[in-house]
Amino acid sequence: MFPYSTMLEPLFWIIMGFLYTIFIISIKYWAEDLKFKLNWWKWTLFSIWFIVLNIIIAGGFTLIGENETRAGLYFLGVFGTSIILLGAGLWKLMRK
Amino acid sequence: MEADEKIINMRNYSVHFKNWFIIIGVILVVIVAISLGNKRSKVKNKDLISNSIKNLDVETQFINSNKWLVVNPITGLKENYIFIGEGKGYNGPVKVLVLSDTNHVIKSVKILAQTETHSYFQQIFKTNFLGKLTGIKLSSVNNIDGVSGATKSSIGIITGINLAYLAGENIEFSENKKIQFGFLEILILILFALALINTRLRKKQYVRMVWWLSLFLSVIFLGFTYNQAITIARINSLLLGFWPSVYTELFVYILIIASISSIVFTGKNHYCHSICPFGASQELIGKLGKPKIRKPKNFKLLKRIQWSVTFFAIVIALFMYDPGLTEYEIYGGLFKLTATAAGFGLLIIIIISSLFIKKPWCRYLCPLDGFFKYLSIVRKEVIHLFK
Repeated sequence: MFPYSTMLEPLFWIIMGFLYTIFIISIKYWAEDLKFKLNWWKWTLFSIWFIVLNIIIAGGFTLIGENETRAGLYFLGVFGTSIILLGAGLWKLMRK
Repeated sequence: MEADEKIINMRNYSVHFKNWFIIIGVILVVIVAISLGNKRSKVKNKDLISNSIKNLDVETQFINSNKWLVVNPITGLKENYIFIGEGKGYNGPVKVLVLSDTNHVIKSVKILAQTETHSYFQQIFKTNFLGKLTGIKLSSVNNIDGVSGATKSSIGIITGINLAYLAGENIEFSENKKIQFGFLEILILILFALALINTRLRKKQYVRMVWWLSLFLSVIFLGFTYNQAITIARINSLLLGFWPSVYTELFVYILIIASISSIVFTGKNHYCHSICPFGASQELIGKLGKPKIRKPKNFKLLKRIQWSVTFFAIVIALFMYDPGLTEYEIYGGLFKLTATAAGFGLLIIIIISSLFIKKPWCRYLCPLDGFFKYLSIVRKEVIHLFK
């Protein structure tokens, strides 16, 4: 069964890689569509935010996977909420 | 024209009648709940001590109302002492039973009764606070540090043990009668002063500046540093007569009296507008998003549900004689990371919705909204009476 399956696990990561590639390529067009005037530091901030978001999701679900469900949920609750709030702030900043 | 005036007058009368019905009805229900709760607690307390000693399954000899001697059933020799006492927690009394050896070294501590907020009191067990008291002499129990996150509850336990020991040994003691007037008291006074100043300022720019200053001070100090918002448990404990010490907790009196006075004398709810740390947090979070004052179609009904929930929560707590029983605020989750799982879930929803809705907790869930609304109805009707 997934995630230990020899077939499904690589397939899962191939699909994830595909989705990430599409997402990263799309960001530029999405920003243009939303009429965001993005400069180098806005891109940097967004990249940092996105990496941290990924780390939080990965960290939280790793904890849940390691049978630390409570810790995982608290991790996602505290840091997940914080990153959403930062995301909202970043969105406002990027619109300027 | 005359008919119109008559209709208006009739409407006014019905509004005033409804208001007086609410004012008197609430007072009567609260009085009945308090007296029934009081009666229940007296019966419960009477059995509590005798049952808890019986449950220990040891042979005891009564010494005084705070101390029992445990004797060996075979040899008849003195083995241990049992002390029972009561300290003041956050919401009300914390009753403790202490088992000590004949040298007054603590062997175990048991909580007999408490009315603290569940999520805070859990910190006592999570940190094994009671276990840490084992091996300490009763005379030096006062030197133990409280538990972070449940400071008042742990101090209540320590005080309970100390008072049990002193009363059991007939040692005279006197309460510290020096009023503590520190940073928290000054801060609350400053916050109310800023709120009052703000009503006098004319330039919008200054009004906003002073308001934001209040919000920041409130979140940082009243929220994250001291976690001292007015809670439903606090109102319940005051109604039940569990008044905090004027000497050590003067800030509670300042906060509550100033909040009520601002409504009674100025007609404005300064506490909710600029002093409540949770309300201030929602305002600050809202700055990151684009919150709007949303008034759904059934807004009036939602408000009535909100106020009714508060009323029933207070009545149930009074009837059960347990101020913390119906506390459903989630402030502790934000300021001290102390809340139940459901509380944390609700907190996340509130924080995220603060980005889109202006102060969602205050508008749809906060129990204090109903409490202050009641005060403003009383004010309105009393003013009308003397017009």
